[in-house]
Amino acid sequence: MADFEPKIVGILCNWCSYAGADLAGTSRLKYPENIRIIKVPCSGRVNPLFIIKCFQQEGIDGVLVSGCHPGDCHYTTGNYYARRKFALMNKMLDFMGIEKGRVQFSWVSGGEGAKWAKVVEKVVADIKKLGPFTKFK
Amino acid sequence: MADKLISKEDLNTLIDNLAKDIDVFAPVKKGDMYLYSKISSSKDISLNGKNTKKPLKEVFFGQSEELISFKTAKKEIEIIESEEDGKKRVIIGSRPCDAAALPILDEVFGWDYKDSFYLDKRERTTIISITCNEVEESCFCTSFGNISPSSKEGSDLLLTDIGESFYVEVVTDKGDAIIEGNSNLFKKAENISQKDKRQKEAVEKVKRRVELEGLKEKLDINFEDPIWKEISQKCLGCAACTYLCPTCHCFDIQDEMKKSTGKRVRNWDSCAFGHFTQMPGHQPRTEQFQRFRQRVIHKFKYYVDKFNKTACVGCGRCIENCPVNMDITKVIEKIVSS
Amino acid sequence: MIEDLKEKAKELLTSKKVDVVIGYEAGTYKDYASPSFAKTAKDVDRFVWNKNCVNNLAIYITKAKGKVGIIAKGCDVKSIIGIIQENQINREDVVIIGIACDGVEIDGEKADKCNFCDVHTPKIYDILIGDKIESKESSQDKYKEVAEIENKSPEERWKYWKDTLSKCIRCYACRQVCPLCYCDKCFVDTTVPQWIPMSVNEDNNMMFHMIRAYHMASRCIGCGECQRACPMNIPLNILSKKMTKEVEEMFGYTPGVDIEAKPAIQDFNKKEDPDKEFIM
Repeated sequence: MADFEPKIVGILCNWCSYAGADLAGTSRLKYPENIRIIKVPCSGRVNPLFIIKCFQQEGIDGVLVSGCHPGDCHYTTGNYYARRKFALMNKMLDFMGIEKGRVQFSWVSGGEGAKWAKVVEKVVADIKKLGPFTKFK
Repeated sequence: MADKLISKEDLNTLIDNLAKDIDVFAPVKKGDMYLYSKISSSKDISLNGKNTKKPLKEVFFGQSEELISFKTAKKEIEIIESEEDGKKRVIIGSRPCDAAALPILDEVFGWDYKDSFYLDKRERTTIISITCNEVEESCFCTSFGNISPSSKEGSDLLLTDIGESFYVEVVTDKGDAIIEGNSNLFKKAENISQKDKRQKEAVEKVKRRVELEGLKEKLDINFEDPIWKEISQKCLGCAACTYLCPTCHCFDIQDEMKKSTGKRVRNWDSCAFGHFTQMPGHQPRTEQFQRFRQRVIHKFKYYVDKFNKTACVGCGRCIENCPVNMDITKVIEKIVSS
Repeated sequence: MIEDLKEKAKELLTSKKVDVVIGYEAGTYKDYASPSFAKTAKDVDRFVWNKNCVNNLAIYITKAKGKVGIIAKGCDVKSIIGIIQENQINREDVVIIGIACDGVEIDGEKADKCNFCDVHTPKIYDILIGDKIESKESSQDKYKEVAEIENKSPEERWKYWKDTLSKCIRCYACRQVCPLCYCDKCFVDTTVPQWIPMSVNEDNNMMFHMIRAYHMASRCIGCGECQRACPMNIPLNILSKKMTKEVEEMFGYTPGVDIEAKPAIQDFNKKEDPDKEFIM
């Protein structure tokens, strides 16, 4: 498993996390290239079905969902609703027997390029440990 | 093709012998229900006559059947035909009603377009039915002239439990071939009176009955009748009745793609669903009563018009499994008396 | 009780306060009761009330046209509360004929939900049939089956659900029978995008049931109709109960209690919602 390079889908809100990832890039920070980013208007837009759909795809091993910090939502409250949805989704995935760490959540602001790089590093390391995802394939 | 006798022990030997070379399907107890499953030994089989949850059609017309698969590479598409193993198959212990549903399905799958997937499986399968020991409260097979707990319609052999052994009635050459191939296990038939008694008892156990007299004539003219709204009011639009019906055969073919591979799958579909007749921009059946009407008229009129037989065998599964107790026999009664 | 019920239903219909009264009539299979719709006082004579009146009739109020009178047990009223909370009907358009109920039976056995019933007398009603029954705190653990699964390892859980849900034939009886599943177009029926492929196999079945249960979070009142309707006897209650349990624990919300409350999933708590526990 040493040379296993996971593919991870990142679902990022337009206003904070996407900008944070952008900043990481313009600051020339290095982080693993295992993540493929999809931009959504707000973390509140993330339907749990997006996560499920990711896992149906060939070769996807993990999902990272990221949005603005609580209180910073561009739409004022979107991420508060998202937080409840993610909390439930997290419990649901665990209850069905999907390993912890396959789906992760983070708050990354537009100024946190360095945090973004760290978050991706952690997610990639976690998923490398878990190995390829073969469920739902 | 004379009748035979097989002892219960020898039947088990027969099943074990058959299972060595060919696929044998039989009712198997799984959890709290019976299902037709492939068996490898006579130990797995349950011949106590309880109705299986899913009908026999599943063995010929699976819920999700892969028709072809394909691969894409650059601009090329490679198509891979699904190959059947071509093995002979035997079904042991099917109910006579389930067996009687097969000639009904044969009509629709072999009428205009010859459905090779269904017909191929049908061709290489021998059906050994068994006279029902137990009759369910929902059974109403005797309402149809040619079907009963001991009818031979659709079967190749019919077994009747006469105590120590099974009385074997030979219906077709396919059935006869099984006997020919294992002639040492079968004995000369005797005890016809016992067999007749058991069959008569089984028929008498069926209490539910529906009068079909006059139904077709009513259905010919009552499409617009307000009665449809009234009788279908409680129908919720699930597919428990259609999926578990031995003669319902509607399907939808869809391509399911992954990154570079895909398959074309035929899935059961149901007229009870709101999206069943959905076309781009138009839905001819917008309300549940129209969908319910379709189910009844299809079974008791359209099918009769086309193939001169009713697409219902009275297995009672729709009555047993309906969450709101929609009873097809009562529906028919109401239509006839309307 | 039944005479009182019939009298009240007839009164509603003859005074034109409602267009239809939804109740129960004797069924035709085993000793089942079956939903019944009375449009005239004469139709009401078909009505019955007994241990077998297990169906949750609230499913029909979002389908019915005009003003509706509905015979509802305490648990069914919880569903009606949910439907009104979500603005699917107006409170004024439904006349709730509440029934004081001390438990119903499925195939001669006490229904699971009745073991934990806290609404022998419905929470809200316009007319009450029968004498009020005090609800006692149940000594049984409502989440026993949930805990049994929680105690397994992730691999065991996965295997359990895979085996259990592989039986599913996707007839969607669970969805159709649920009073809170009122969407015009279900996620599983959309084709663009097709969230869940139509093929029936373990993976697709699992995805369907995960999302179905997830959609019921903070809305499912535990009437158990999904499990009762399932022809393949899949314990769907466990999934819904798990969600209800989590909603109670994390957000302190119980569905079907307060008609004025916002369902947990349509609400948030800035300070107290879980955050650091699972979000980086």
